[in-house]
Amino acid sequence: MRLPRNWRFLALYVALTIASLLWLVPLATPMAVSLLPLDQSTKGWWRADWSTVTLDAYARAWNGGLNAYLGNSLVITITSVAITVVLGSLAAYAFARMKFAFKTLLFGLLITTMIVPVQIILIPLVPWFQTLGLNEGAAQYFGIALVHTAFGSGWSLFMLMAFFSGIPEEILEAARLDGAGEFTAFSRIALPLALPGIVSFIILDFVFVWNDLLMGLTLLDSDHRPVTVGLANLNAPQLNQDDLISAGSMIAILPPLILFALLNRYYVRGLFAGSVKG
Amino acid sequence: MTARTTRSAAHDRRATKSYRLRRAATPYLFVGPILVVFAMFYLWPTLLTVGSSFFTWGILNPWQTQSPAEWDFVGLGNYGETLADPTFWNAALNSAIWLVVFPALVLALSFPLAILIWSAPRGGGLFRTVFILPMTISLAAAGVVWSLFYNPDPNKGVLNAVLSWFGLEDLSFTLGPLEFHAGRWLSDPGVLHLGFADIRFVNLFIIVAAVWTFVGFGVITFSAGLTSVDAELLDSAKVDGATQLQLVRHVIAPSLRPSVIVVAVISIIFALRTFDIVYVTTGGGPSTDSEVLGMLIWDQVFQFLDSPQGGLAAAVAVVMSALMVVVSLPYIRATLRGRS
Amino acid sequence: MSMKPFARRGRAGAAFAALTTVALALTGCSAAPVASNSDGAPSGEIRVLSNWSGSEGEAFAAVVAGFKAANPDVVVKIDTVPFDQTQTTLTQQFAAGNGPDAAIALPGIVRQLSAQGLLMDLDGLWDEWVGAGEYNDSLRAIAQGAEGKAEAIYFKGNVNGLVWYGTSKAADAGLTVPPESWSDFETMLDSVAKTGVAPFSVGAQDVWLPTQWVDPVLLNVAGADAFGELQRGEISWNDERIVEGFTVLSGLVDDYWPSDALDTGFSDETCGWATGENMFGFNGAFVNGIVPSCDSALAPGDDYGFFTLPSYANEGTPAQAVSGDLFIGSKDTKNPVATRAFLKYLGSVEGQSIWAKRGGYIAPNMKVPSDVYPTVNDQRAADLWPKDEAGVAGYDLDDWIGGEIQAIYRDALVDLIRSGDVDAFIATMTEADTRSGDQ
Repeated sequence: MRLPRNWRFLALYVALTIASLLWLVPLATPMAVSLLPLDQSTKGWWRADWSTVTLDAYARAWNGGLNAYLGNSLVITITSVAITVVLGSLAAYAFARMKFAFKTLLFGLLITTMIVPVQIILIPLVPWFQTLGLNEGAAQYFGIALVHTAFGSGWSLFMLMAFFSGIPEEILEAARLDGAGEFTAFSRIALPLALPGIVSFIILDFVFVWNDLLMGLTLLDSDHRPVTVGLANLNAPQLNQDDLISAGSMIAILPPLILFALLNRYYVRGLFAGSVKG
Repeated sequence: MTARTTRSAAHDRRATKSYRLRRAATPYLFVGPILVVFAMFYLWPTLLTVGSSFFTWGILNPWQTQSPAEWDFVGLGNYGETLADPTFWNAALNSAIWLVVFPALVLALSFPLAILIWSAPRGGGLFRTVFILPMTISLAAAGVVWSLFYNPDPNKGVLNAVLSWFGLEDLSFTLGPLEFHAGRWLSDPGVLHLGFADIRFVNLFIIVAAVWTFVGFGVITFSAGLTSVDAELLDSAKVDGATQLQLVRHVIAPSLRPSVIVVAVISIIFALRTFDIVYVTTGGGPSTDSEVLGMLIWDQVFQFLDSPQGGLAAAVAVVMSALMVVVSLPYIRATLRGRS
Repeated sequence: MSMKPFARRGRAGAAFAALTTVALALTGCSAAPVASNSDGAPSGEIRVLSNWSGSEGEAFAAVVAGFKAANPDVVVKIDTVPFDQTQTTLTQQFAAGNGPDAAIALPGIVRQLSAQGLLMDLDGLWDEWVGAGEYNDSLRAIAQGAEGKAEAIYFKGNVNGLVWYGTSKAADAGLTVPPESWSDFETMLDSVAKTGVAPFSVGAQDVWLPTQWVDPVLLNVAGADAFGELQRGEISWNDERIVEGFTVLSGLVDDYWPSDALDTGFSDETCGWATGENMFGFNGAFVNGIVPSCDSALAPGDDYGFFTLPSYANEGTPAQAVSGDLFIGSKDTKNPVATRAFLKYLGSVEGQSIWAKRGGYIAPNMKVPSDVYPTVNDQRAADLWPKDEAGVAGYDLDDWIGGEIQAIYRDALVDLIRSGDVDAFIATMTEADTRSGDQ
């Protein structure tokens, strides 16, 4: 590998490096302040005595409720993504490969979920959940997961259809000739072929549901609130607890970040797929 | 192609009526489950919102289905009140600022970044990762991160610290209708007084924080679009001696038009929907300076309890949604045509 | 990664199961059942909403620990939300049917929730307290709900309208502190103003700060009766006593405030008089604990102290401007016995003394002895609190009214400070506050 000698390439790399560093600057403060005792960061964390690094703020944030909130976020997200993937793949397969009445109308309706603001459903959801009994205890996880699925049905359809339409019809026809029912064709043939795309979708949906604030704020009680709401609660600027809220934000950022780091390829591919088809 | 010439057991099975019925029902079995969830948790609540926008009610005492006599029907009253309400127009103005500035900044930053990354022969993926990273952070966390960044104390906020090295952290001037106060980014950074309205700059600083999380999407979209740029065209243009800028303008940009549209439309939808980051950074304040339509609805339902404003909030939600559907209609139609 | 699809799916399934197990373990699947009283003693679990974190959070936790020591069968879960999210959180929780059993609330919120029929009736408790001399009717009026019933308890008090100063600075300037009459007060302020520096350090950038100037001045000039009537919406803002009060206030602002008051934050205000150029600060008792952060060598009492405003009309002692936090109980609580016991403890001498000992807190209960307070300034401030049935307290005007009127009031006050136009202010408020009906 030879280093690019052309000065233009050098300028390019310098520009990109500067841009990247600048882009990461906002993250420097919470990272630093979360690791320092509070009195070290009040006069500028860049002047701090780095020998005082401590994980105390993380411990306090964790024990102050963030551990439960992380668990809540996990339950809500996993439940919602699981339901969305199962129901979404079934529907996407049908939309991609089958003909049926009202197809365009239904598709149009489902697509509106990508456009309208969440508030269009959120307000009556509070009394509606009470009617359905989804406002108490563990049922709340189920309720909010279903709302996420419903509200994400548009874009899940949009994305998953792309993966199912790419499957050659011959393979499925051959399976049908061999006596496979439609569901078997779907589960044994189409699903495995679309799996890489579905994995990408799972990651995107995971990040999306995990990062939600408004629905968690409106529909869940304090025992079941996700980590985003917990973080918003820590954010009281008049109290001097910058170290606590920095640690809290780092804890909140970590899970989707780790997921992204591990499965980077799929995440990017998923976003690619969503955009190329547009 | 058909199996008509070869009689097989499979063909016999497929000829039975029950099989044909099952076959016809199959698509609905596939889409049924998600439609049920969709109906129960999206369609029905939407109808409730639209319906309730014609009544006066409060979230602490919503309608009781079994006593319709107590419902307080006001017809289009809520809509009239909303359209006459200065608070609504203030929120609409702030949302309009988002609508214009957010997509513009996203496009302006992600387009050149994508091109730079694409031009880099090696390591482009690494740089792209940096810009995608903030997309994984929730807007709540991004709000916290940027609140720390914007902290007015030069010993805490990086922005003011850097400015104070140049002695600029208290910079404050008034230029005709424009007022600017450095340092107080999330409380009172400045105003532009147009005769009929005041554009409050605090919105711009929240928008910057949101743009930071969204540029990654633009970069990816453009990167995907760039893979379809005609390599031959590019090479021949280079051979003809085209400069970088000319290459971008005449070869690359045209093939990126679809990507630009995607990024623009998604950004616009995002901008109008925004709630999370405003809630975490300023809560709509100070007073109503940064209140956007999403925040207004929240406040009307949960904050302003002097009078029941659930109906007003529903009306605002309906207006917002109608607006957004209208704005995205051309895009939806194109997508539908491409899909069905 | 070249795994067969099925193998991959199996692995994913196992990972999924593992994650879910971890998640459920973290949350704890089932909530502890709420047992109501079996043998009359409070038991079970109650959920309490509070605002306090940091050192105040620890103080509150100590009070709760005291309650638990007296009622060992009760489990108290504290949920903390930031101050300005209290109302929306309570509304959202009550609307979803998940309201807390007890919650912190300002009087404005108390009355809004009360209007929706959500609050526990505490008249019986207050009858007991007033009868035993622990509270008086003036304090009871502060905790009343929409229909005049007592629907909250008064937990944390704060005394406002204290003129703070550094003792040596005042002595050097030859000031007679405290001034004996209003005219002496003005003369003193004029003499300080003549030196070229504004007498008061004011951090009016924070929205609540100017409102804390209004309450003591209004109580003083307009009188406690007019103040109370305005607060309850029985008279309107154009009542001549109220107008006079705001005129006096506007005069004080024009003559004695620094020119950059609206650009100075509260955190700079305290140090402005403690270690800086200004002579006085006009704040509540809570400032006592903040001064050492300007200069840790400053000792309360010896180095800094306060006096209260002399009477404007030269008649006796003006009513004390107070503020502070109330606690409400939910009417539909699943554990009324424990909730009621908790509220009673929060209002009791024993419960309140726990926090009083730590400072930064004035106990509303009149029978809390003054020797529990840690510094001489805290004790003196506590002495200003009503101590017998005749004592009158005026609660923070806009915090009591709350809602949209409060929002409009705060903006109008900033305009008044900028322009000095009392008539415009009165006109704005008269239009905004239509409770009294007579415009």
